[in-house]
Amino acid sequence: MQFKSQAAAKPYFVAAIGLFVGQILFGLIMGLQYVVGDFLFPAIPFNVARMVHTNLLIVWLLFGFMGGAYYLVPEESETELYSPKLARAMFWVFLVAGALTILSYLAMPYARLAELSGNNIVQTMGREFLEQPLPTKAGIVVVALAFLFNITMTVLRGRKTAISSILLLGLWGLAIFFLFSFYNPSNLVLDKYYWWWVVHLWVEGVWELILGALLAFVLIKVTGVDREVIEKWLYVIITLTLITGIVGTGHHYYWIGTPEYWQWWGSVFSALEPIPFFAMTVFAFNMVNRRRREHPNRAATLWALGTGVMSFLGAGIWGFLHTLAPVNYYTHGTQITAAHGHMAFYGAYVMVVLTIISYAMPILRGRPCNSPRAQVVEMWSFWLMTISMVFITLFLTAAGILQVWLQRVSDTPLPFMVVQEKIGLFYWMREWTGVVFLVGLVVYVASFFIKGDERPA
Amino acid sequence: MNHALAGRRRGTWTWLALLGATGFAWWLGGESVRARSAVPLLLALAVAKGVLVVREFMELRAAPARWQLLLVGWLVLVAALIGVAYYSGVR
Amino acid sequence: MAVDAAQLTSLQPVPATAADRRLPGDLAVWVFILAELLVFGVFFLSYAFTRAHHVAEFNSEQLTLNRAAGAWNTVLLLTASYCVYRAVAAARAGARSRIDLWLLAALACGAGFVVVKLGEYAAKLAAGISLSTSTFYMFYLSLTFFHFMHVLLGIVVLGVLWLRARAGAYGPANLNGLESGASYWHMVDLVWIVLFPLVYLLR
Ligand code: HEM
Ligand code: HEM
Ligand SMILES: [Fe+2]
Repeated sequence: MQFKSQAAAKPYFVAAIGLFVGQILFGLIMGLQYVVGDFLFPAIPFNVARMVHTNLLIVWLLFGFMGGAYYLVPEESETELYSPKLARAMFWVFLVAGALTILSYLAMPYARLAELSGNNIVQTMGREFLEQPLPTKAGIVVVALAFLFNITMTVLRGRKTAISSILLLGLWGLAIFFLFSFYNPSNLVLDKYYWWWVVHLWVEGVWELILGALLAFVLIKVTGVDREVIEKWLYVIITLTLITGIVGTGHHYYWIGTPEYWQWWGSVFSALEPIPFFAMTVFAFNMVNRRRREHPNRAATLWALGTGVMSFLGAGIWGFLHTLAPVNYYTHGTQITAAHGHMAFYGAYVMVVLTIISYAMPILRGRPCNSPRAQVVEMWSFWLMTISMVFITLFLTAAGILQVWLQRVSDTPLPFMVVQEKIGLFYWMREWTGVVFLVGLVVYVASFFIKGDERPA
Repeated sequence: MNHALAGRRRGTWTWLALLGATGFAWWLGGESVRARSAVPLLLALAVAKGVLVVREFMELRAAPARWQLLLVGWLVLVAALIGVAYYSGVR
Repeated sequence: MAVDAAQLTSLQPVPATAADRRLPGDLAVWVFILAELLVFGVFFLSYAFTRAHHVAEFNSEQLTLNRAAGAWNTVLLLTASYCVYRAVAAARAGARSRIDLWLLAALACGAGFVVVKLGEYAAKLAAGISLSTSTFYMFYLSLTFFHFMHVLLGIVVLGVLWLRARAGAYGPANLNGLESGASYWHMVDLVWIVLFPLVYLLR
């Protein structure tokens, strides 16, 4: 570790992995509820499980981003963190607030929680991903501001690099777009319109900047390739991301009551969104091929390359699949969407967080890399999780195609629930593959506890 | 300096040719000309102008051949498909 | 010596051997240019194939466009491209004092384009035309506005080149930035060369 204060990242990483486990457990519960409707009813209704699953996902990714930033920024800026104390304090605030939120969702009926948390004063609940009760939302803003202050001051004080500037831009963007979660117009069209400003402009805009910065940082470290080369490509990727991603928001405006021209703007620009993802893949492989050193942390390199490939598959290919208006007309809100959501989130953001953890965590624990044995176990978890995610995606896609066909395209369309019955087999396969994913995750956690000779073989 | 001078002359001729082609296209696109018969000519003019810009102004004639191929290929492909679309709209 | 060698090769109008062939400007800019051409290509073809389904509507509404304004804008962009070309030539020949003059001329042409285009938009706006008026106007406004944004960006790029040229940044041995910006501007021109006949003239 070059700077003592980088240690601030460690609790964030640990919490991220812990919440990740929780997210997957709730995914499995829901996956079972898909085929065994009354499983755990009424203790954990589907809607609550769904919300816990997706909110835990967002929260642990945020923990991962923050940890990544606390690790990366001092090293890029060549100076200690502005305030390690603030970073530690905010960690506990965020963790306790998050835990309280989840517990209160599980402990009381939704309506009661809404009433208690002041939803009748400022109405912000009831929207996927932005579900959090008002006090939690406010807490997120406080934590985010303190975090941004801390990081920004560190960057201002030290060396300014392309990577830290792009990371900062992404993080500020993340916080600014979150403000739209406080704006909940009662007009349903406007509600949806702005909801996407958070959700879409996050994952297909500012988060991609964070992704690019974290990936570039790890690639510089493990390959030793010149910073100038990496930075130039990073700029191209970021520009393409912003141009296609911002106007590409239109691919969510097709059927919500917005003017018709969005079908053109959304289709054309979002159809090009795969380009920056593709560029990122090429970029990752190119850097690794040009490497100037053999970094002993092979697991981190594997995660970095995996991020390149899987983000392109999940976001680029599976996104493109249903992004053109005439296609989306049929696929909107089907299992195709869920297939894409899973692989894109996993391939881009889960994997990049696991990449930075894989690179940084051994160093935070006082060694350049883990023992070869621990690395082998970690790489096993990579393949288990990644391959099962590919199959989850494929099963959901198959289910989605059938769903579209039977329910929407057919001359004699069947009702929703009848179709769900018919594609139950795919939901079973998804559930079993989910169990394999959980096994992979357990193996991943186990890899942290494997000792052995720390020097590379 | 001879090469430089020749290069400047080339550039100037290119520019004049482009202006001429633009004037011609503008006349062709006017209401006095039967529109449908002008379509292939207008597309050919656009390709020709594009090729001039690509080869001369962008100086791709002195670049590795694949770059010229890519850009001229883009021009020809786009123009050809526009032509197909116009033809399919006639019937 | 290094400078002399660079000067010699750059003065060759066509390189003698394949090894001398080189892409003007930065590879990254060219990757970006290709991405831009792809976007415009997709937009152009969307226009053309949508028109095939609404030929009568497109033909009659197209006649309401100001063809002369479009033609003048073509002239302005072509001339700007020519000036940029001359600026690069001047830099290559080591005529530093002329670089920024040619760039200034290009900037003036670019500004002319903006003025003409804004006039066109104002007239359409006054006639109550918007993106939702009809499919043709949706395309006309979308395509030209997207291109318009590129002209604005191109002007910013040329402005930066001009400032740096005044500071003496470019010469035979230092062409990368100038050539990169120049290539971007030519792309803006190239796209208009297809856009103008497509939207204003082809019926
Ligand atoms: C890493 C980047 C991405 C992530 C994490 C992501 C995630 C998601 C998620 C979770 C949804 C479902 C939202 C909902 O609840 O309705 C969604 C929807 C969608 N995504 Fe993505 N996405 C990404 C990139 C892309 C890209 C690059 C494209 C296009 C090429 C795309 C196209 C779409 C479309 C069209 C929908 C709407 C589906 C519908 O109508 O039901 N996504 N995305
Ligand atoms: C890292 C791994 C995972 C990620 C990133 C992830 C992400 C997501 C996202 C973004 C959604 C919302 C999708 C949408 O709005 O369309 C979702 C919903 C869901 N996920 Fe996951 N998930 C993961 C693992 C799992 C696993 C292992 C299972 C179970 C086998 C699972 C089961 C579900 C179910 C059943 C839903 C609800 C779908 C619906 O509402 O119809 N997830 N997940
Ligand atoms: Fe999106």
